[in-house]
Amino acid sequence: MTILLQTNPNNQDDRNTEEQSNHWAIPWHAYLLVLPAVSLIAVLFGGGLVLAFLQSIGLMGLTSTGAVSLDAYQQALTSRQFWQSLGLSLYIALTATAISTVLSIGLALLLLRAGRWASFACQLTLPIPHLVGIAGILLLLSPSGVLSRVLVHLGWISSDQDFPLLVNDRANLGVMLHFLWKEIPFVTLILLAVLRGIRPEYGMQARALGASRWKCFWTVTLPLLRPGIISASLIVFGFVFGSFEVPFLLGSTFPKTLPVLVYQAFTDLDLNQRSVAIALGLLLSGVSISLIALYLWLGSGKPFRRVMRRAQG
Amino acid sequence: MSETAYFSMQNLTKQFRGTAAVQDLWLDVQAGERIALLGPSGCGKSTTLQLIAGILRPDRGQIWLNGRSLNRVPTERREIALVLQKGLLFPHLSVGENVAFGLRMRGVSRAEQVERAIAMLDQVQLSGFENRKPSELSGGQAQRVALARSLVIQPKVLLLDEPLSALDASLRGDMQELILRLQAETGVTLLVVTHDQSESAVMAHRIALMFDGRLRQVDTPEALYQNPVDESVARFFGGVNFFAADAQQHRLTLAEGERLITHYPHHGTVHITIRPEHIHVMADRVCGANLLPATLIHSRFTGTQRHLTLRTSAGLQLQAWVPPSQQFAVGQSVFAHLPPEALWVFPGSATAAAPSPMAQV
Repeated sequence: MTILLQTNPNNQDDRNTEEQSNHWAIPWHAYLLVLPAVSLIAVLFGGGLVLAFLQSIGLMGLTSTGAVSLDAYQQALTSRQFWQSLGLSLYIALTATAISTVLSIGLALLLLRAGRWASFACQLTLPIPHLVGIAGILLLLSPSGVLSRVLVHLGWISSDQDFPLLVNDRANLGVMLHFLWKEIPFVTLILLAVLRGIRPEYGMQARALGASRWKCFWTVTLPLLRPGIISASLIVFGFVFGSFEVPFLLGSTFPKTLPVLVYQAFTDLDLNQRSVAIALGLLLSGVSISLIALYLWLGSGKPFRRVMRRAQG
Repeated sequence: MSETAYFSMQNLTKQFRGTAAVQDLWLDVQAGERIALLGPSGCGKSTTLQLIAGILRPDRGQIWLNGRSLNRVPTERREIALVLQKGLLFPHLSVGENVAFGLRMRGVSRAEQVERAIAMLDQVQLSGFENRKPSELSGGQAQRVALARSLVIQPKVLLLDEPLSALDASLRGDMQELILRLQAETGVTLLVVTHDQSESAVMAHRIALMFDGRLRQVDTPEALYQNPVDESVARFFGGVNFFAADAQQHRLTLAEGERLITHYPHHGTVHITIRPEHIHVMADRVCGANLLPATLIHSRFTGTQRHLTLRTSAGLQLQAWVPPSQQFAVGQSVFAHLPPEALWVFPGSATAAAPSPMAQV
């Protein structure tokens, strides 16, 4: 509180001495206050990253020789499995993010005029752990699951052998369904909150200026929704790309997603694989961070504006 | 009716959950006319505006523009522009893009969009602002951009919803002038919604006064001011003196016993009113009709006027607004002159003249 008061531009005592400086500059002791939180994150997260990096280049760990070696990275990057897993992880993460975002935009628009119950309904799946969801998908969609038995009972298929493979399948449909079940309500919840904050008068104004409903959606509603869409889809992408238990239990047996590959390498009998696992994990983080950075840059609209300007010029 | 009027509303009715927001509204507007839709908040004037813009659909009634029914025309094809209270510029577009928005929706070429947007910004005295973001504008500037954005599409009718209510008093006059100048230059038919009677008087040729979803009186500002149709209209226009009386042609006998003469003949029980600024107050008796001896019981200086409260010997209480140069002491005996031409009579069964809220100010 005292810190806030000292930065107050109406504080007469400070006024003369700080006339030239920015009144809203953060005083040095404010940094002290965030230090505990920052150091905790630095030690647990940053420290973990540093240790992982040291192990991946052979400076630490059970099989360390004490010399810097990029063997683990070389092994990871030259294995066919890595590239297949990376492709699969990207496919699952991008598809799940894209489908859940697009469907959530539509759902949020439909639910906008619904009452508060809509937000409540969207929160129903949030506290359910992923493992429970996975168990549900298995119970429901596996060849011996509820859906298969119901169809047999109804006589639509003659035996559960005829039921299409929906879990541990090559297309990873089970994984996708699980993520959509979990993430669509989450994204819808965020977009609903953003949509409710957009004044309906913007739409009226656009319509009165000659925008049809469709143009109004593209030129006004969607751009105003963009910050919400970007942050919600980033969270979903980041989570899905790094998710382990869902593809481990519901995903295809080959190829595996990157996190599953990391787990497999880490628990390999050959201890040399451990540094490869860590290298894989760091590569996974690197890919994830670069994609998020790229997405944020694209989402900021800057590259498009640059292209537009070039087109005009 | 619609044969002669350029723009007309006929029997327009809109209900929300059984309550009429707009009830049987008839209004004819000539091309290039400036109309103010005036009324207290919640009287249905903004609903009327939304019906005209096509944002709401009427339950009943017709809207005609230039000989064409608008009822089945969607908002975007009505050629009616709308400026809302705070300007509401699209925050994700620059000022120039905001102004060009309507042109872009109409498929105008990009070069022409830029050219016309810049010319329009020039007209609202905001040259060079085209690359700014709406967040970098003051309230008055945003309102001017909103005006430019609506006028650049050359609408047949321009609707303004409380365009000045979010502005400082000092900016309000400038904005009024700008709106009037642009209206004169473009000749656009203007419909402005406001709850401020002085604003409506400045901005409009005619005022359509609305209470509880119904139009009560459509007239020039002068007529509404001096010849209101009933007491509620008079009160809305700042009327504070209301008395019950018995009329015999030009002769009035007040309930308190005072006898007065009016220019407006009537018979039977009536209510009469006189605007506070029309009452002359003087220290000495002069000759003439309608001169009432009174005592000054209260005086308040407002800067441009002195608001006096007088009580006549018969117990009649009067509010009189006099120039500040006239000074009286509280308790002083004075004479109040009520000019017969300013003594307006409402026929029939108007409700008992309770003191208006303004009388206690």
